[in-house]
Amino acid sequence: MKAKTTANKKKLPKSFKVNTTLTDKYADQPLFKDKIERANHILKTIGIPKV
Amino acid sequence: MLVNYYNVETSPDFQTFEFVSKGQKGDVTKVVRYSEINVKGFYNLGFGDKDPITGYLSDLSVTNNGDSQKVLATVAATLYAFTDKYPNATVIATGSTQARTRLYRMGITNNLNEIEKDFVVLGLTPTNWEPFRKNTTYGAFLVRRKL
Repeated sequence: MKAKTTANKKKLPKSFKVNTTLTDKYADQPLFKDKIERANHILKTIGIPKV
Repeated sequence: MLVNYYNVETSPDFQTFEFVSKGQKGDVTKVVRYSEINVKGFYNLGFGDKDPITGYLSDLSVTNNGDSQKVLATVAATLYAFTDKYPNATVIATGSTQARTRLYRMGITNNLNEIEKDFVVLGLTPTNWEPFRKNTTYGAFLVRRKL
């Protein structure tokens, strides 16, 4: 069985509001692609820490 | 740290967040995005400004809106919201410039006692990850919610 990785019953933090349009709002942009590549590079070269 | 932060809108999956910085340069829309990377359960924290004309996001913008503490507190608030939803996620954050990485380090340093109540924080040295220490230069940061 797949491990549960999300929690659904947490209350929305104060001053937060769900906006369904945000799901696709930036779909046409490669958001922060350089940082994602850098993060992948770091984990590949330095390794995955035990947290 | 999280007493004074901006109102935030979130996508239903809690991976994209938007808020408006209000300061001496006017209103600037900021976006925080948590993107899962090649290692399952690891997410990159992306953070940038929305260009008011093109709508495109840039993480190289220097806003100088005079509210950097409030902006950092808001990003931290999104981290709480994201890890409420994904408690097993590990988040990696790198600054887009050395100056911004230093800003992140200062933000963590100034609030380390508070942050460490809820998160494990690691810093990246040139050769390995280590528990975050004050007065140490790091190239990236990694955080995970304490369960």
